[in-house]
Amino acid sequence: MGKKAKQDLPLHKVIMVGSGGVGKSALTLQYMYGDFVEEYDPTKADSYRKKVTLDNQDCQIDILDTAGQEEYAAIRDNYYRSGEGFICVFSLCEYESFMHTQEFKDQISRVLDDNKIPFILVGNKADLTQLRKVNREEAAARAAEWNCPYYETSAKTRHNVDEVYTILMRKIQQRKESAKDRERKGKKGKCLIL
Amino acid sequence: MAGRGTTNSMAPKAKDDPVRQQLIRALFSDSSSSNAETMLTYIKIYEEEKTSKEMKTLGGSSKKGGSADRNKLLSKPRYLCMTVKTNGKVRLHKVKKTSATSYHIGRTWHLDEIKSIENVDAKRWNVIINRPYAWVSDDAEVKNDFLMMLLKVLRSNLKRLPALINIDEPALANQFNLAREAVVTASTNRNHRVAPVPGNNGAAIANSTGSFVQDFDNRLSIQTERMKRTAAPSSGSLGSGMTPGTATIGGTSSPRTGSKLMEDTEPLDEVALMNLEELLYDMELTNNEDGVALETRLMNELAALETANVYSIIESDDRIKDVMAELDKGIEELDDMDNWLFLYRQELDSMGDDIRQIESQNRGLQVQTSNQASLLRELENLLISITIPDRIIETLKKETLERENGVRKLEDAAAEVQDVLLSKYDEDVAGMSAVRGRMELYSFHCSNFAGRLSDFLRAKCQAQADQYLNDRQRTLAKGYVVMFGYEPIEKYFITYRGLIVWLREMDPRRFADLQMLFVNNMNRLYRKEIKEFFSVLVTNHVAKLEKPDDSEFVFGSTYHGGLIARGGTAIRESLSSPSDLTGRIPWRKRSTREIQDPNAIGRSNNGTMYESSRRIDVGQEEKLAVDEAFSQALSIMTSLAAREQNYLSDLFTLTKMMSMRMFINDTPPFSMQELETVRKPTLDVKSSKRLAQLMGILFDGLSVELNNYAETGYKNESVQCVGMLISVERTQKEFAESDQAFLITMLAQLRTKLVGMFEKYVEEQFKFIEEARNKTKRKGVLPFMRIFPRFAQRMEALLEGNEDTEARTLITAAYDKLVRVMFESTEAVAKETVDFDDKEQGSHVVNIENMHHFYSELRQRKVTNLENYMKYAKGSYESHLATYVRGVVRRSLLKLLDFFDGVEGLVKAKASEDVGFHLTYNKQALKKVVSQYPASVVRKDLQHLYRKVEKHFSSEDEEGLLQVAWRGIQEEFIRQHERFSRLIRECYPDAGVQMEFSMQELLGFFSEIAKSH
Repeated sequence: MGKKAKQDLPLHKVIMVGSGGVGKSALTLQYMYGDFVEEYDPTKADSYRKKVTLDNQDCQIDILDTAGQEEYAAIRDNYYRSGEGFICVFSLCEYESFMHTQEFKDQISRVLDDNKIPFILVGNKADLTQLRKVNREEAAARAAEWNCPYYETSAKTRHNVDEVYTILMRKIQQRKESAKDRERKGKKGKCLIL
Repeated sequence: MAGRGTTNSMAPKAKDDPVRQQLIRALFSDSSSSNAETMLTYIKIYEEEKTSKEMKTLGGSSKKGGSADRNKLLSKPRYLCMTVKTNGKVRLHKVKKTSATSYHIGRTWHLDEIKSIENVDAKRWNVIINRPYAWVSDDAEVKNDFLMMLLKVLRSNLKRLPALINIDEPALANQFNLAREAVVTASTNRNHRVAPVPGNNGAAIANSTGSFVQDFDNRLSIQTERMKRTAAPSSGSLGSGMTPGTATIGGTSSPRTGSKLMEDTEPLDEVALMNLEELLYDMELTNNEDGVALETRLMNELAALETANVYSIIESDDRIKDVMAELDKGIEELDDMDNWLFLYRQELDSMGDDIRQIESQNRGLQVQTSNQASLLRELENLLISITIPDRIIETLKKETLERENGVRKLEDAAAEVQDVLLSKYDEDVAGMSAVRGRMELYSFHCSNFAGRLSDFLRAKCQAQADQYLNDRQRTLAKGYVVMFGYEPIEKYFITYRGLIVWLREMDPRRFADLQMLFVNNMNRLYRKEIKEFFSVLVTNHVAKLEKPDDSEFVFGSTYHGGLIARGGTAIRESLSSPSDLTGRIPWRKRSTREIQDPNAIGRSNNGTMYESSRRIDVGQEEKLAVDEAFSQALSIMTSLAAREQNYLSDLFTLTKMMSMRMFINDTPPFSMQELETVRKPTLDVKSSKRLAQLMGILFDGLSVELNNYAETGYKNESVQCVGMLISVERTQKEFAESDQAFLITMLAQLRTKLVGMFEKYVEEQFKFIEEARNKTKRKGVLPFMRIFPRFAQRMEALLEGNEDTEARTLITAAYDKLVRVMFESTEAVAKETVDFDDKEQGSHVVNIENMHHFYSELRQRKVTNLENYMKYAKGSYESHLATYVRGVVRRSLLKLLDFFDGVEGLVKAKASEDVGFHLTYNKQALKKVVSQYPASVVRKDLQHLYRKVEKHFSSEDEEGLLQVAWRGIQEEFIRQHERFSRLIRECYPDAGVQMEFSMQELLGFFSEIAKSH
């Protein structure tokens, strides 16, 4: 009986990626619990789930908050496979983290073999304007190159936090619906390659 | 007597003692007046001026003053003179010398004024007359003599002697006698001629008494002279150049000598006075006769002599006979006249008596007249005060109670009568038959009126209650849950509260009856309407669970979903998401005012919706949660009851006793609006008890209905008792400081009941959780773990803004109890799980999933009060996860791990080079163990492992944990691979042995696994 109830609700699996210390966990916690955690405690991996309303429809979001510090990127392969959408985070105050986004993007594309996977580039720590190292134009240019949206957020002030997750879920939702359509047409979609 | 003569008169004495002479001349020489006094003796003293304090203590502690002090105080030379008046009274004078020859009497005392005499030392003595005096004499002897004489005089003149302190009379007397003997001896030796006392010597002697005193005085003077002569040479104080002869004529000798004499001889004079005894002896008088007897005897002797003298003169003349006859005749006539006069006098006396009697009668009559006049006035006043005009009695009898102006007239009339009846008359007046009659008459009218008033109000009360009972418009229906107000009744009866005040004073029994009548009638209404209210509410507007045990908050329920929308029931909606919860907190009181919009009521405003009507704002089909409906009903009922109590208090003016007059002059304020306010306790204990009793009768149905509701609600969904409990506590706070004793008691009872329910509920949940070990599935998130966060969130939502309630304490305690048993049960279930291929790993998985769920759900729901349990759950989750990961990896790489653990042990103990020589860990052993893990085996093993882990973490609630766990396993593999490689490098540098699967291959396997899913 429980299972049935559950299956009625769509579940969107979101994965947070990005270098260590850019604020992936901070964004996740802000979105989940509405509070900002100041202290830095490197994450290994953590799983979150929450009921939300997306465009007047109840659904669940499952967030996998991952470590940014793995020595071997291959570890990520497995959970990348489980993701339906990605939020790629860098710190606006650390240029190197911005450079690393390229590696994450490449790995995701490689593992999933899918360029159309819902993906959002996020520049976090927008509140620290004094320490800013990455300008908006450069980041926006990269997003344009990847054909994905770019947002600047602040986990501290919750600026754009809800927006980022909502937009990503919407993208996942759309993609699932179009996949269903294709299924109905009898044509095998990419998701069935697996 | 003849042998003891003295020098003639006072002449020698004056010469002897110039001071004495001067004193007599200046002060006591006036023999003409009737007050003539003769000086007996004198003494020179110095008066010690002391401070007032010393003065006071003078009698007791004068000895303490040192001699230096004393000298300083010798300031005032005075003469103390003892005199005798012609009537024999002896007095003391304190005399001050104002110039060389003039003196002035400072004070005069009678002997009986002397309070005490104290001998201080040789020269000093204190006397208390009006105030204490401290006197010092020049010479001890003189002082002693004076004292002795004073004592003698005192003894003979006073019945009671003054207090004598430190006076040794025998010693004094002894001294005195010694001195006298000395004098006698001296006078004998010198062969002095002593003259007899002259009986009537000179004009100075006015009468026989005076002559005696004078005589006495003279003798004393002579003695003094003798004494002086004797004493002077022996004392040596006079100096060698002074002969007795010069001393005798000292008064006329050189001033220097004279002045010396004056001072030195004075005491001797006084000593001489004491020779009185001797004199009396000479006169054949015994010294034990007092002075008065002596005087009388002398007088008698004198009179006898005179009589004899006259008689002899008369005998010698013939004409005397004629004269005598004439005289006899004259005497007879005088006797007649005397008799006449006596008669007249008697007549006059009796007439005087008559007149006095008439006068007193006259005065009595006047008093009587005025008394009667004032009595008349009093009676008139009384009559006026006790007479009530007939129209007032008529008003009481006949004026209508139906109309308000009639009521006002009646109030005035009632006040008039009450004024009279309550006036205080003293007993006599009250006892007058006229007054009693009046009072009885008025009491009769009062009683009649009280009866009329009671009957009227009773009839009205019943009629009103019946009318409302049968009012069809006050019928409730679905979507129309109302407690109607009774403004018309309230307004109607408040008109009579003046007369009710009167009734309370005049007829307390009827007053009490009226109260009971009122509440009994209103109770008929309230009982019916409260019952109907709850009936309609419960039937139509309280959400019910389809199956009583199918609650989201019952830990034993089989319900897991929590997201099923149930036919529009408010309770489901309110629970579907946390943010919605706060929007529908049950006790957010809806304004009772808003419901007066007739459209909202859904029927025409027919006049029954008064200001004070209270309605639950609910749509026709709307259902409320049990606790919300309860909260609204409770709020409505308590505010209604509070209003009703305020009304009762006002209607019966229970706040204070007052007369009708007071009520009219100072009508207590009343307003319908004010009835809604919560009042502070102002009544005395008796009145508030009474009021609570009335309220208990009035609302006897309320407590029953609320209790029934609570029980039904609990049966339906037991967790609702918390919401109800909080509502009750909130309402208790509202009335905590008020005078609503009835409500306070009722709420306390209700609260006790709900606390009991909650405790029972927790107890039941506790049992469910404990039993869950045996019942539930042993995989995934356990039902109670799923329910608890919702339960906690619900509790927190209820408690929001009610942190200071006792419900908070109860719930915190319940959390504690429940969470403990939940953790225990989780552990127990984990241990006994049979749903896994591997029991130990399965146990970790159950713990990981449940603890993660507990922690993240509570965190998400922000149940901050459970912080400690959340921390515990998180820690438990992390440690179980770590153990699980290590366990899984160990199983895959068992031999490698054992081997390298051994190597590492040796490395820690010895140098790493030696490891190769150890039998178990030599190169061959290394080669052997490494060869058991070729890349192909590891690859297959990993794929198998992934499937196993995937199966472990198949719980739909915690799907994400698969990735978390797998990630941990990958890391562990990598870490171990790194460790093995390092140990080979360090311990077997030359062996040329490598792990048979490289790191690159391992990462490749991971990617492969990732791609294959």
